[in-house]
Amino acid sequence: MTSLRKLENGVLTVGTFAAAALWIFPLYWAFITSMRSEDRVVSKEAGVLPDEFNPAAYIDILWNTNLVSWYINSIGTAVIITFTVVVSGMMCAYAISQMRFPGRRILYGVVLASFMVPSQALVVTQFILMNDMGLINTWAGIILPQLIVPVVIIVYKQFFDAVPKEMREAVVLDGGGDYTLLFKVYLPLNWGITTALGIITFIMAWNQFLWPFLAVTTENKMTIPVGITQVNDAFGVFYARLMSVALLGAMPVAIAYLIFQKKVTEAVMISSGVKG
Amino acid sequence: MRLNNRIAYAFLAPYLLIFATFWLWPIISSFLISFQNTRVNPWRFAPSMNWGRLVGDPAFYNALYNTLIILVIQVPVMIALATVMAVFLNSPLLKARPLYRFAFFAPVVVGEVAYAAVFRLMFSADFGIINKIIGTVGLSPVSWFDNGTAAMALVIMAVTWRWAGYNAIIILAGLQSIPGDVYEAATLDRVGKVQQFFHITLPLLKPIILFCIVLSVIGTMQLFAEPFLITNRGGPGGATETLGLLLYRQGFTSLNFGYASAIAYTIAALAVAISLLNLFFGREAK
Repeated sequence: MTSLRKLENGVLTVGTFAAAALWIFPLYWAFITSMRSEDRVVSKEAGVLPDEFNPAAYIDILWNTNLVSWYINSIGTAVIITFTVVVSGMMCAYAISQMRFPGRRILYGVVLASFMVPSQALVVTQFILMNDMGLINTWAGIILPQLIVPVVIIVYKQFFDAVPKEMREAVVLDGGGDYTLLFKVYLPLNWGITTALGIITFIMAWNQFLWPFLAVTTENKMTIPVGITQVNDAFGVFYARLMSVALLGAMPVAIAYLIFQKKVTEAVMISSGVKG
Repeated sequence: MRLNNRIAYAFLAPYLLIFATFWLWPIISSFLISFQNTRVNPWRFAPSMNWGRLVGDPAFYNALYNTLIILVIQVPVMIALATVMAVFLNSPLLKARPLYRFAFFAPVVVGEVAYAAVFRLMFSADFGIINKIIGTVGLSPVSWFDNGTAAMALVIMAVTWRWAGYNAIIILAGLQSIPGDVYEAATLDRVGKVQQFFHITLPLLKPIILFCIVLSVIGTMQLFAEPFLITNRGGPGGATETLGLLLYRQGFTSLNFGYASAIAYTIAALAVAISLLNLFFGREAK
């Protein structure tokens, strides 16, 4: 029995370690490439181990690209998207779950259906719409189509459905309205869900590529993922520089993830409670 | 009663306004645009133009074929991998679990554009580390971007790498909701670990795995970043062109909005149909 347990333990540890090494390798590779000189990157001798600690690529891209503007655009748009998605989603879910009004069931059906439609199927008409509204190359243009995240509504609705009715009745008896109920009573209760949804929404917004890529054409209006593709164009194939931009661009979300790892995991997990 | 309705609509208003403008209206208007000739100014009603073209367009069938190939190979491989990852991560015997979870989830955090750049570098035919490793084993180097089959394999590997960890976390949530005494009873009855997995774990995980499949189907139907960024806009010669990429090419390279709208509708309809089929068969068998 103990030897079997040892074997199980061995398979588990070796297997997980090998898979994790494989999964982390591209990041490791990006890092050691960013620290090499461009000549070294494309040479035959460049091996698997780090051999140079040359910050030239980092210095070069900080001076010669719009990285700072891209940071500002990414932070600004991602923060606004996160805040709006969470607040509007929570309010909508509250109404669907706690209030009675004509069209309630149909509305929730539409929310569930919108979850199944790939967002990319909408980009053509969204682009025409943005163009007509004159919002190409603006933050509003980047933000607006990203505000529709049906999962947030579905998760919140399940939370509100599960809150005991007595709680609502007690607040109403004390003269509290729906505003008090949602923001003073339920929000503190679901703070865990709110931060988890907020962090995952932020990460997804930060990494969004296709829509900002379509909505922005001037370089200083770009977000980081769109900017990275410009580095490629501007420098040809200078990989050390490309890797350093990629790593610097991922840094803020990577740090946020490391701090809130539990919350992010929780967010992914609660979204799976969603049933179609 | 009236007042209550008004309050309810006030709570709904922020989301509904955005939803109506940037989701509902685009869905309706792309339906209308798909019946128009958008290559003349002003656009003209031409009911069969775009849909007629779609039915006979070899580029559409190529993209549909590529997308379905990815769907049929990549999704099962990734879900299987994710399930194994989740079972490992869930084992109390495993040490340093947060570290492993970080490794598996890192691709989602880093983002598609950054990691696409790394993949292009790693798989470069001349100086890429993958070909160097292949060389040391004594095999001949693979031209990942010039060979259609190799390029497709690369896209499948890249997508799997990006999403396996995410799905593993979802499946992990499912595993953690299975009460431990089920396994204790099985162990007392001398049921082996592997048998436990196939006879207890998998059946209980079914709804969660189904959810992962639906997510992956929706993702694959709109797959864009990997073939666009890693294999040179669907190259070589359209070998990795997906429906998402064809939509982009028609809409934003050829600026043929009418035809792109017809493609968009096809993508959406396929995604919804396959998702519903999955859910339906999942329920039936339960």
